[in-house]
Amino acid sequence: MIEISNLHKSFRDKHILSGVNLDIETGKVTTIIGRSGCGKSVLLKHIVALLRPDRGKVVVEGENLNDMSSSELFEIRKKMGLVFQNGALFDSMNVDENVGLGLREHTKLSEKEISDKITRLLDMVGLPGIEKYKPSELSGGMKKRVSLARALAMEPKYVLYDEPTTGLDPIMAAIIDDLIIRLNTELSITSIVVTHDMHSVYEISDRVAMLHYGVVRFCGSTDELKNTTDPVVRQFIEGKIDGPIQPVLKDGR
Amino acid sequence: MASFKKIIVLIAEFFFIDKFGKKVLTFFSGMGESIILFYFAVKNLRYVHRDRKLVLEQMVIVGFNSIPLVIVSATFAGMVSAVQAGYQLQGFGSPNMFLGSATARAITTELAPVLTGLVLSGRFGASIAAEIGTMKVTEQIDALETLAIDPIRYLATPRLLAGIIMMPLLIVIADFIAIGGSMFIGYISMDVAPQAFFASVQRFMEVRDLMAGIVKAFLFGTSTALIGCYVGFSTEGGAEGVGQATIRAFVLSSAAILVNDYVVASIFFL
Ligand SMILES: Nc1ncnc2c1ncn2[C@@H]1O[C@H](COP(=O)(O)OP(=O)(O)OP(=O)(O)O)[C@@H](O)[C@H]1O
Ligand SMILES: [Mg+2]
Repeated sequence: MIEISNLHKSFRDKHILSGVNLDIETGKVTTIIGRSGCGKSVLLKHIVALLRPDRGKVVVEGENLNDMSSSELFEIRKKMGLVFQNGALFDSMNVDENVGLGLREHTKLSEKEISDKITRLLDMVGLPGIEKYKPSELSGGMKKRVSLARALAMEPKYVLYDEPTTGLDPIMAAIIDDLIIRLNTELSITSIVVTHDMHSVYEISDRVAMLHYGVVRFCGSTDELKNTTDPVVRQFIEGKIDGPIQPVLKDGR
Repeated sequence: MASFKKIIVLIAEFFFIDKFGKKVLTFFSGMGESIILFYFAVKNLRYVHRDRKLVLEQMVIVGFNSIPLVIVSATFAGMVSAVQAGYQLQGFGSPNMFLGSATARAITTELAPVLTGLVLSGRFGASIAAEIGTMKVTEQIDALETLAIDPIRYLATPRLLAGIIMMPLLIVIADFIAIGGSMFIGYISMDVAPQAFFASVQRFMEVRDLMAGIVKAFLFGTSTALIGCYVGFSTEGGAEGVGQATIRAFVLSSAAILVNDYVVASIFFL
């Protein structure tokens, strides 16, 4: 269980999050939707404590991240995997080293076991045989999938996906959606998925949260989402130009 | 560390300190943060056995790959020091007597450490800042943290150690090459035989001269690597930010070298 309460964050004088409350239930897939620039990635970074809140807290398994020492944070991060929006692969390392870094740093597995595991992970994300490639030789979608493989390597209990299917072709997107569901049902990985792909939202979510103007505007099941009467949420999920959300907003929010 | 800076800036605003004053304060808070970084980087030395691969890799990048540059700069520094010393010694008797010690002392205490230090601050100080800065702005540092890897241990400690070890080695190499260069010029254009050159070195050079050079080398290696890492970690704002970080690392580490040079010289020789 991850509890986010009253989370505030601003950059300089720009308020990005202004009181986010959200509970991430263990074993469920929670998707987070919202306009580009509304702070979804910022929210994910608070959950892994890459960013510190100005106010409010994130509580993971009963422990407040604000109160943790850096070594305690490292322990809790071993239980989490984050798939970065842009991959954030280490460009001095090849794919094998990227995916295997956590294993080589934190486990006593033999080189053989590690490379077997890397092979399996790369198969799983649909990229067999690219161990020796450097990130600069990969397409954007491939980078994202390698980033996913890297996040899964340490067998985390929580996986945070930042737009895992953006930039993938429809078939690959469906494969990744399927993977997210399988990881959730078979390994009961608690998943938090930031996405703009409404098709994925309906496909994978147990719960959906919409972030709007720095707060959670909507939170509920996909059925509740479909039937919501909130005009803001309706406009967003239907992708309409006309409605309460002005297409061009200051700050992009 | 970022909040430390914020507090300083807030204090500055509170006391209506102008822009220049704020710059000075940020400079000192930057120094404070570098010292904190240094502390954590040194603390991680206990993992150095496990991380020896990283350290070796950096030693090759910092040290081994810099050898050609050091050879070129040291050769010419040595040659020019012979030319200048010869000119200065005119009228003070035979260059046979003094050329060796004059150039060797100048080279080991001053020329080789400072020139090599400056050349290397451009080479590895700036490259550390560019590399870490790029990792920062492309979220690779964040990625390290999410993999529960301490970026200071993984990136700063090996670079710092490589700087501390390789800078003195390179400076000793520069010492030899530069003295060789000045001996060569002494021989071909001032008729100072190599034997006479070395006799002069032996007669007048002191252990203190060598010590000063070595102490400088350690300090230069430390400050260059530390500044490169600190500037790299505090990079913000995309490719442009990385470009600025590179320049900043070069300027700051060169300045640090000159300041350290003066401090050590006055401790040893004043
Ligand atoms: N490190 C930072 N410094 C300053 N501003 C930042 C920083 N990180 C994010 N922001 C700002 O916070 C806002 C939200 O950014 P965020 O990346 O969370 O958006 P997002 O919801 O993920 O958008 P997208 O769907 O386009 O990825 C943006 O306006 C951005 O400018
Ligand atoms: Mg984002």
